[in-house]
Amino acid sequence: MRGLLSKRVGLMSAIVAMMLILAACGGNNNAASPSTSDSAKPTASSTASASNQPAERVKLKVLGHASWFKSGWDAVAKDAAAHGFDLEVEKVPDTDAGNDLIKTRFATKDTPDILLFFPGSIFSNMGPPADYFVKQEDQPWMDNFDKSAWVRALDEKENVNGDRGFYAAPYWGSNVSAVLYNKKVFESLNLQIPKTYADFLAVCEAIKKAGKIPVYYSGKDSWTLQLLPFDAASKKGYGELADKINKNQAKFTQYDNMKKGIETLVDLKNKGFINKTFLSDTYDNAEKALATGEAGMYHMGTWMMSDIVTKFQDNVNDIGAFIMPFDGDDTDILPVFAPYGMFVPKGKNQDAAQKFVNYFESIETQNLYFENEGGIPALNGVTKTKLTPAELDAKTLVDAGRKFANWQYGFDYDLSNFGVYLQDALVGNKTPDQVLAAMDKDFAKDAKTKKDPNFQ
Amino acid sequence: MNLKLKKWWLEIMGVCLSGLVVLPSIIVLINSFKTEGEASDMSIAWPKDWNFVDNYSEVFRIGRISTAFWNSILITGSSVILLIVLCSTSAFVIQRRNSKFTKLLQVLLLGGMILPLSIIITYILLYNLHLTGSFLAVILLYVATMYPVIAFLYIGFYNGVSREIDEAAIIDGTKGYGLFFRVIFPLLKPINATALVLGFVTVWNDFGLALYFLNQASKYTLGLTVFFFAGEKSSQWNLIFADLIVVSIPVIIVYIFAQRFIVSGLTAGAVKS
Amino acid sequence: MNKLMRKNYTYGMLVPGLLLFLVLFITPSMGAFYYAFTDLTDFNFFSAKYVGWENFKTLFDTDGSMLALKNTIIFTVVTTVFKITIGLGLAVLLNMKLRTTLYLRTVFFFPVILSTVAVALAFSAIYHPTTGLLNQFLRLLGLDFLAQNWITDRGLVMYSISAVEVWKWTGIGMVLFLAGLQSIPQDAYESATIDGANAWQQFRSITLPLLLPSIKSVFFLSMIGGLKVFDIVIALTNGGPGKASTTLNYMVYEDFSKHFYGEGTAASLLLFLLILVTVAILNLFISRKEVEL
Repeated sequence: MRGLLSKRVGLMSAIVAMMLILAACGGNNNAASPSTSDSAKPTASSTASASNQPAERVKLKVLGHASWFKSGWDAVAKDAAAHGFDLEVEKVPDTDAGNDLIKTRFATKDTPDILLFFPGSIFSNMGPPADYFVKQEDQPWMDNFDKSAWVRALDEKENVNGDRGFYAAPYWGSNVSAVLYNKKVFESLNLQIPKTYADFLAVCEAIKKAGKIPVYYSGKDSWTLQLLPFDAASKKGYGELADKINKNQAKFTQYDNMKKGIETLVDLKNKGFINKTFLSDTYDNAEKALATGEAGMYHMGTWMMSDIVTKFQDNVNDIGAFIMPFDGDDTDILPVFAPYGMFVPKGKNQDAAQKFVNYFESIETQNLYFENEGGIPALNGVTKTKLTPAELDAKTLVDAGRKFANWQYGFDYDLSNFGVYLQDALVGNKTPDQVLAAMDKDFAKDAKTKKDPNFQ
Repeated sequence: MNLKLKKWWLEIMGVCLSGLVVLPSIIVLINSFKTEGEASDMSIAWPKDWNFVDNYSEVFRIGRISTAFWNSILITGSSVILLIVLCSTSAFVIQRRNSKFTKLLQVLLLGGMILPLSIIITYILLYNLHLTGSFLAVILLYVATMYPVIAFLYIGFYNGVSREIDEAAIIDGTKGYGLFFRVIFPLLKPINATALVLGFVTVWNDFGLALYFLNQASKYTLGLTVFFFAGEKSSQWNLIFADLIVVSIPVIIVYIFAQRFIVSGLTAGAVKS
Repeated sequence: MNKLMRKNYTYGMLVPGLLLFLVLFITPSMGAFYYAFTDLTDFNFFSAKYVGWENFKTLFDTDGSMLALKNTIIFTVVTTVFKITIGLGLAVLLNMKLRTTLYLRTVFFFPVILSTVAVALAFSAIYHPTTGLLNQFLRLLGLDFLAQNWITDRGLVMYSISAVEVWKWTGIGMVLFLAGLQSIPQDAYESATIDGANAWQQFRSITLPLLLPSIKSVFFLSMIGGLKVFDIVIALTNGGPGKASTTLNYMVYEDFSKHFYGEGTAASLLLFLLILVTVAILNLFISRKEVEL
């Protein structure tokens, strides 16, 4: 009986092994073909939009997260049809599973013609971007693009040596993290925008006395707890530390600005300046609290305003933005988040897809897009936008130079548990130092698994 | 008199307890009628603005409910039919035939109930059979993974079906497959109903398998449509609730229809297992 | 009889179902366990190196792995105990031929057919400390001191999650027990009453022993389901607050979402063995007790 069983198992494993080998062989063959079409590049022509229109109608399959296709996309899709592009959109869920779906499709060579995805994450999610996508350097749309402002945010790591290149065209708007505040609450209490941390605490005290929530924490959605520490951690100067940490020559426990951010997060809670039920309150609850004036301030990204426009139309003008004052000087800034990316996967339709990308990034189309959708355009020269007062406040500060790229762009490995660790810190289960130590552990583990030589 | 009072008391207690069950479902129902702003509160308050038509039509449009509905019907229906046919026959052999092999199979089935499905390896296997993204793959997977549970259900049932029926039929001259299909199968109504409900509910509500193995939105099942309304950061709760109600209605209908069979189906099955 | 057996209970009838089961389920899932001993990440199957027991060592070293084990055990024990006792109680209630029996039977089984997502959403609303129905109801009754942070208090969260699981799945146990109760012949009770036994004694010496097979089924189904718990945790609390409600299967999911497939598979293999061993030991223990009875 035993012999029979082991023979069956043996046979089965042989079949499986054979199938795995076949998969690899198939994979290799497919990898060979895309590179031959790499050489075909469209002629660079900065102004003539005529070259961006295909001779006959083209059908393009677009793949992306469900919630990325809103009014802006709808407007462009209509216009695109008039220009000869028939867009067929396939939406995936906005979750990890959706990301995995996209990765699986690329791993099995079942690729779309256009991909909307998170820029800066191709290497860690799929591998060398050159294997999958057409490089965007020298494309016509880049004439309006300030590359230096978006290095590390919109470009991709190309190989283990750290070379970088641009493979994504910007999609949707960029956002910043700020203190979003309810103007009516401030006005009713005669409060000014705080310039120092002491001012900030005084403002909190005044709001608390008036029976409202000074600062709202939506602890149930752990990712939202990160914005306040981000404001501190993104202060200029983290670049050097990031380079060292990426090479395992320094640790997060030495990241003083980050530690300060975490300490401030816990400090506001200890002083009683936040909502008591913060662990059960969600991002949706926060939107309502800030819009209706139940809360005075909320550390969040300007992306929140698009929800306010939909859900709390009447309160849109009540919300403004200012910089979180840690040090009370010019070093306090607004962390900037890059927009999403539009990629051109290599394949039989890549020329038509590239034409579409150039069409999409042209100023006319960008104007059309941003007229219908909120957000701050990443390209220069886009004149028509639909910005809410809070976003305008933020844009003013950004234009005045009070900005810096969000700290995460500087780091190569996994830090996705940060929000969860912040929850731990707020319930007293971790000290700020322990949070940083935990991040060190996660970072090193991810680096080691990705075969980084500095972490073996 | 005492007994009557006791019964009344029990009836009232029962109905109160049932309230515990109904209440959470009401939350989902009532929030599906609200505006997005109101629905994020998830309270049991009466809606200020009745958005019944708006919400449900949005859900039907964005979630492509009609396509998803037929996809679900196809997948769930096929899976359940295959499960009933394959499990009833397999279980029959396993239960009736007392050999070391069938005893081993029972152990294998038990192991199968505990064993987790490996998404990646299974995906590779299906990829090489050129089945990924197809309805066939998903149907076969549902059948393969639910095979142990449903088979056990039938085995328990057969424990209660006396062998004398078999013997009588054999004496009358039926042979092989005839014994099963002509004599035994008609007796299976109750247990088939049970298997139908259990299988239907599990496959209909599943989204793990469907999400990974149906990689095109046009093939999505009803259970997956809820994702279209959930964003990375915030979600359109009123639409999510409306979607959940829409997804639940077919199951509820099947359940109400089949439920009178369930208890009798399990009567003969559970006792002797 | 043997020759007859072979002809009438032919293995042939077994083949299609069994083949499907083996090829599409058992083989890939068992084959996957090989990767528990490699450092497989992402889809790099061919560069995965053999690393022996390293994955298992890392698992024990991970922050919160012991907590996950503790949470899984709490969940399993609590849900099993309540699924059986409440299920039994409801079944007894339903067996009493009340007027509302059909309605009650339908309602109590209803949660079983709902999707876990819907259930989790409804309960996270109910459990909210201020706006949630549970606390509002307690305050209405003047029982303010009983109002808790149901899913944000580290000490309570696992029990609150268990309560939702019991709410959802007790219906199955109830139905199984009801079926068992209805097959107990009435004369057994009648003769016991004549002999002078009261309700409790009758329950203990007639009902319970005859229900033992059903209780066994519900017990094992509940144990296995409990040890494998994942759906309800991720939908209700996402393992939070912090990591307070993570379970073993949740750890597997975390590994897989970070693409540590080698480690995730190792965790999955460990869980599988844990359940196997637990079920085997319990089965042995119960079989011995059955013989004694």
